[in-house]
Amino acid sequence: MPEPVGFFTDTTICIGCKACQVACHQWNDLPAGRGERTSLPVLSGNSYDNTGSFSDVNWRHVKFIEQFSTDPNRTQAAWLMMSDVCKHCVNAPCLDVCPTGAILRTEFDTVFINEPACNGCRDCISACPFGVIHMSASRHVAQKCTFCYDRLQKNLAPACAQACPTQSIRFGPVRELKRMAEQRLDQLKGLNRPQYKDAQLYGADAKVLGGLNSFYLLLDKPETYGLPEHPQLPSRSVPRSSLWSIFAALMTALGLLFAFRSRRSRSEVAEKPQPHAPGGAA
Amino acid sequence: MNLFVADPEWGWWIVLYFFLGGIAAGCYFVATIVDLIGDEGDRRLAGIGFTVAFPLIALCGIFLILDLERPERFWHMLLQSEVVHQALDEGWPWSGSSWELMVQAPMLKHWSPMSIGAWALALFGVCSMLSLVGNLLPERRPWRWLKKPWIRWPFQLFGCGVGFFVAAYTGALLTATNQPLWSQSEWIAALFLTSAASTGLAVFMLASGWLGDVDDATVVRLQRADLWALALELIVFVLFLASLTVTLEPVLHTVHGQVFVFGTLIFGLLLPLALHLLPGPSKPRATLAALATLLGGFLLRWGIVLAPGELLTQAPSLPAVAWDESLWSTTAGKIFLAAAILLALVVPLLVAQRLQWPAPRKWSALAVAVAVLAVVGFYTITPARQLQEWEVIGWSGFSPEDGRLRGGGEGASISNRSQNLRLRTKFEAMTAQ
Repeated sequence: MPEPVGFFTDTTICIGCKACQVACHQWNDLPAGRGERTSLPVLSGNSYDNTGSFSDVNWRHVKFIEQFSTDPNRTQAAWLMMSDVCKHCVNAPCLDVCPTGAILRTEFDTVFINEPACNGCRDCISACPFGVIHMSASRHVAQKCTFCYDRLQKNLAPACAQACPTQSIRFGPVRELKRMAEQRLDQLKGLNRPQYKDAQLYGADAKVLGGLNSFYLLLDKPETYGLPEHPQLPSRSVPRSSLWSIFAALMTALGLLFAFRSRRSRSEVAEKPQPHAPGGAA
Repeated sequence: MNLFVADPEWGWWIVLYFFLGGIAAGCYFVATIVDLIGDEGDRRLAGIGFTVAFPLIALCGIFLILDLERPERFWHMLLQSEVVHQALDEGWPWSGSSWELMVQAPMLKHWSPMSIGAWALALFGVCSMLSLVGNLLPERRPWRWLKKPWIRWPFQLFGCGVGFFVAAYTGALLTATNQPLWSQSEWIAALFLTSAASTGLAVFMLASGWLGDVDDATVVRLQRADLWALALELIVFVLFLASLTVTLEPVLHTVHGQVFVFGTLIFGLLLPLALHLLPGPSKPRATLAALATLLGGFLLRWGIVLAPGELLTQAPSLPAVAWDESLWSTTAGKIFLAAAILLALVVPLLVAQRLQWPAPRKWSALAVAVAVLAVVGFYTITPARQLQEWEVIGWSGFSPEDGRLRGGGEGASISNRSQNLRLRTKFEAMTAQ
């Protein structure tokens, strides 16, 4: 078995060039997002980010977190950049719920959707806490980052990591990436600069879903980057939901047995003054 | 509340399935109870319950298949597609090795509500079909043995079990996600189950109105049963709202949220309860209560299924959720708690009196009120973050994915694994050149 591999994304050196997105589109033959009326990709008009979000064709998405000052002319601006991708969670919610077994754990510890098995029930979409998975409009199956499973099998780095010009996306065995991430965090903290005071790792330890094989160095709290603080493994709620349901089912059964026992309701009708008229629909 | 998720776009097919599937399960359940302990007059109604259950659940199956993006692959939920294809490649059914594969083909993940629900739906379909046929052709030979008590009762009770499972798993399925609202409450399954019972009873009350020659004693019993089912549903509904804690306020800012909170409360619960609490049997009142219950049951499914989509699109304009606060700190929370206390003090007492509850009624009603308010109080005053952290700790190890360590093998993907995955890759094109 090969060692678990992952991405360490250092958002502090991401320049938002989207080369990773382009490389992903190119290697995986993903079409460009098109506008409704034109055959060309359109400008979003509300952000410098024109690819918007994850989608069936954007398996990677470079987020621009645009922080403008609140004065009318928005004189102060700051950008946080983050190249986001499927986290390949160690305890993966999508894989947990998938009823067809289409979502697999590969020998590299990554999470992979086996297209021929997927029937498009979309349970994985509701399970993923990161909004990663989308239905392909053309293939009608769930789609997301494959971690370039085909390239991994040939000992090649995933296309995005290969293309990243600043090495913001690092690919390698998770064990080495974690050491690298901790060193980088220590280095930033050692600089004592205000912009690094909230620097933190997200997903490197087991706190988020047992760990994320694609983990991040962030400069602010996870929510700022659109990352949830407390994602849950879906199956954890099932025993409790079941317990309350069984209780409710027993109570319902008890009540109906009580209501339908014949004797008492007969007497209640008999107490009525007027005689019983058969055949009357009242 | 995680607003960073994508919308699965479960729409009308799913809403209708949850609603009609609940009715089918409720009908089968009530029919079994009536068949079991009712008198001759009631048994005619049992026939109606069995007649309604199967067509409804068959319709549900069709809706679910239509909802799939690849409807022709619906069987992938029941059989491991990769294993079946492999068996076919090995010449199934004409080779021994292919049979070895085929017997391993059933697909079941007991920790995934959708996986286990697909099986429950199939089983309930079979049970309700047999009950329907046994009811329509009681004297024909293959079905006559269905009437033998030692087959009939275990069979019908099993049918009730899977029926209730179908009604409840739909709620557990919504909770077992990371969507806003759905994943917030562990009470949705119980809520859908109690609503299945009340909407099933509603169909019986409508039928007793239409049939004409159903006697008053039966109507009284149906009303009593419905009174109980509605009171139970009201309790679970209140617990469900309490368990939303601070997210109740943003939910109430959505149209779907308002519809399922107020629509279900008024039409599905309070109106039919009030109608049943009036003394004496009355078919028009029972019919009106039944129609209101059905409307309320539908609004419940419609609102809950579609609310997360609205929450996600409305996210920027929603009131901020203060996770360190409790439900009590919000205006909606204070109104909710006042309403819950009022209902807890009044409803159990009135219901106990109307049902002629054999135990001391005031004390029984007080015990119910105290128990409900204790749980509601717990949800209301505990800070949301605290509740959330307890939920994350939750019940671990139910799924092989839970507690799986990095590099810890296949986890929850133990099944439907193929030796030779058909990867989409550029390498093939490159080597072809």
